[in-house]
Amino acid sequence: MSTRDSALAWPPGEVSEIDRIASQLALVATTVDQTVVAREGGQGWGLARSWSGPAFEAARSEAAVVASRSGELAGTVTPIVAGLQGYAAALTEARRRVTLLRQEWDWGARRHDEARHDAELAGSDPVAVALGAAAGQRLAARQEADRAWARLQEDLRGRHTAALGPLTAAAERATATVRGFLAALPGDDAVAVRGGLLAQLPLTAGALRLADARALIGDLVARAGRPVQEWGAPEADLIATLGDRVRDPFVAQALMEAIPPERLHRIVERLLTHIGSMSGMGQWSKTQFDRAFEVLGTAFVLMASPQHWAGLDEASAARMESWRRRWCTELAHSGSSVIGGPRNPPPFLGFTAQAVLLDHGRQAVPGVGPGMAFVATVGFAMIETDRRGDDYPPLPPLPESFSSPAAGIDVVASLLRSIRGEPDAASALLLARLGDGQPVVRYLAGERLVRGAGGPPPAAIDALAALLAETATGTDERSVMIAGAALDGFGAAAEPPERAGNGDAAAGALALHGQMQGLRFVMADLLARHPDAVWASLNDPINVLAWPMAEADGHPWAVLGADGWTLRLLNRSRLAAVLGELGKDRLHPGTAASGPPTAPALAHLLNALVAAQGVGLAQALASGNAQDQDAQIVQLGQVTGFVIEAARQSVLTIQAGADAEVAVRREFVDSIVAMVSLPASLKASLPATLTAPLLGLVKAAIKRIGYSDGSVDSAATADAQTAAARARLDDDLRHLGWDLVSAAGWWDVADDPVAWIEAHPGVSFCGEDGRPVPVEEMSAAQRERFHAWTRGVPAYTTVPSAIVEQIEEGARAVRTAIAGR
Amino acid sequence: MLVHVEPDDLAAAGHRMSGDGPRLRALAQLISGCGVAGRRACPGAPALGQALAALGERGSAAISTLAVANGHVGRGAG
Repeated sequence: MSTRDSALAWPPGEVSEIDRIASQLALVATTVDQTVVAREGGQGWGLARSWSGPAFEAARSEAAVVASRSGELAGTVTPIVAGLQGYAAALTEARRRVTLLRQEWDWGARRHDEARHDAELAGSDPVAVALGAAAGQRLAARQEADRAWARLQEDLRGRHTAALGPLTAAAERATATVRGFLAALPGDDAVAVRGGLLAQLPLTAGALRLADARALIGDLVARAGRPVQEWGAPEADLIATLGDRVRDPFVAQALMEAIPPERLHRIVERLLTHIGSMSGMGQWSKTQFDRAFEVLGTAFVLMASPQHWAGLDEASAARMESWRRRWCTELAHSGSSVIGGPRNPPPFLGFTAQAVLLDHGRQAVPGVGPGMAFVATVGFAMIETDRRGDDYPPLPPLPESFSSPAAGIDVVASLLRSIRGEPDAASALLLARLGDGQPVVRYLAGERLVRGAGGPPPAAIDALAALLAETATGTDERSVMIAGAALDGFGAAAEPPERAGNGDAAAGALALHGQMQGLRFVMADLLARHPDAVWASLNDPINVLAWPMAEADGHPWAVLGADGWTLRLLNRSRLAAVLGELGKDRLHPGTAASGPPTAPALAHLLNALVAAQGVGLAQALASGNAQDQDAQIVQLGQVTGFVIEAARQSVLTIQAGADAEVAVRREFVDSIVAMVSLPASLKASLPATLTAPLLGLVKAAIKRIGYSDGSVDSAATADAQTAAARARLDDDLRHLGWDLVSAAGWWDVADDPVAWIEAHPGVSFCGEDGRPVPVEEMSAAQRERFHAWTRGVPAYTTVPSAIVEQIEEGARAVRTAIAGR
Repeated sequence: MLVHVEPDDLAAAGHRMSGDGPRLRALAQLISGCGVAGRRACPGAPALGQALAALGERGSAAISTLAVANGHVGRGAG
């Protein structure tokens, strides 16, 4: 580089390139905010008049963000254009000035050379030479030339620096504009900018997530190397590679899009068939596809569960919901189709595959169950197919042999298990009307049990019992409708085997015994929540044989009573059938009871009934109204007698061996007696002196009915037992009846015991409240004077006998109802 | 009266805006090129060159994201 170029450096840069950049950025600035979305910002869209709802609002909000960010982008790019144009202009100007400076430099250099040359000439002047001054003049002239040149160079350097000043300033201005643009972006690199913008654009982020998910699944399908319709065991490991990524709803949707229902069913069938073909190879063979099933089941359950689509923007959720509805329809339509070729029963249906996926999904993502739309379409279709089909009850899997991949799979059980914890969806399913008009819950609690008679306890029963506990124990109309339908189906299923004179009664009852067991306690609980229903059915003067046909589409078993919604049973026969089943809770047919008390279901119901009757009786006794008091005694006696006799008849029916009968019955009766106890809350609300007599009364009645029926016992045994029982009972009932009257103060004013004691001096038999203490607490002297007083009080004679009479009346009602079936 | 219409059903009506997405993606490429060229064109102003390079990278990311958003919102809005 020459001295000049070094001193007067040329400003580097590509002006034309900078101009081109500026013009391109100008194009960006003027175009980026001119899209339709950015211009309109979600306002005035053509379809806005016909599109409403959350998705539209989300889209409009998204458009507003797009418009805003586009406008900001354009606004921050525009200054850059000006900055770069200014920089290019400054560069051009700097170069022009440097060019001039260099010209001056060249001119100065020439001038310097000429001055030096002139100095040499001056040194050779003859006159100066003659005078001896030539050398001095030459030196002086040369020095002058050098100084002038040096001054010029210095001047040029200064002017060069000055010439570059505007260029530097222009560069700084341009840089500032670019930095302004960068500062407006939500991130310090491309990834951060993209993420920051998408955070403001949830709808777009959702679309990108779905696109990414589809790309992921597309890659999976491509790696399989063959069409999805051919997938089976070889693809299991590939499916399993998705792992936890399938918990992303977008990935789950993409997977279910790639594997439509019919192909999904086929894959599940092939995997199970493969497992079956390796049944002799140990546990590994059974679990070899668990990871694949887990992935498929998770995707299946997630897509059926919109309530668990976390982290979705509203528009994405709406789009996914729209897809899901179509998907559910496909699942329902294709579910009843038989998958695979002819084989041993049971047939493998599409619903069978779906049940397998529901089970695996439930285990993989606990707490996530199918939502309302799935239950209303697919779930209902599963139940209807089960009702119409002839492949229920499902065959249990046979060890070391493989008959069908559907063996041992109960679709209904899987469905019911999957909707645990989702009472709304479960209620909708249980109340849905099947093709024959009955609600699903009535079919499940009744007819389906009869179809499985003689088989092992159905897998669906536990799930149904749990669902009933979740959906039918409330006091609202929906809960009562479910409870009523369940009890009606349960009772209807239990009725035929109990028919008197039916030679197959015991066999029928035995065949149903295992089917009913899982529901007995929950049925007792449902009835216990509506104790009025027992008396209403018992006291029903019409006692119809069938529900009115006009109400076939309604729920006649749920009625609005004075205290809110309550349930009704069809008639006394159906009530007796239900009670009879409750009496067989945990009973082991053919063997005498042993160990812990049985029949907790019946005890649970009895406690509720006694509690309800106790409240009514206490109120009636306190009122002093003779009619109310009589009515309550009738009600208490008949309800108690009906319940116990219904249970007893049922137990006797199912017990075939007469020799074991007496012992069985005694144990049965004792166990019920032992478990009858009033809830603590009720004890607190009843007069203390009334609680013990009331309970004792019921217990005594239970024992009396249970022990004294000589028509069943062998004569000798029955005679001995009933004589002893009656002797005890008569005494117990007399005392308990007395205590009841004492607690209620059920006597005329003229018969007041305190006045009588004052008139007949001696030991008092009354407590601080002025009423007789319980008989068991009296001393002999007190009891003697108490008996003397009661001889003049009629209630002490009529109440115990009335209760006993009504208990027997209730027992007779059971026998009449059963005989009338 | 407002009538609810499913977002997917509106997809077909989105063609009115179908050109915006490609245009924005072209702009994203353009600004990316500016970043690459900027550093080369301004050797005398290294700070400016670096800033332009960052502009190309981040601006491209921003505009391509807006391109996707335009396309997606446009499909929904018709």
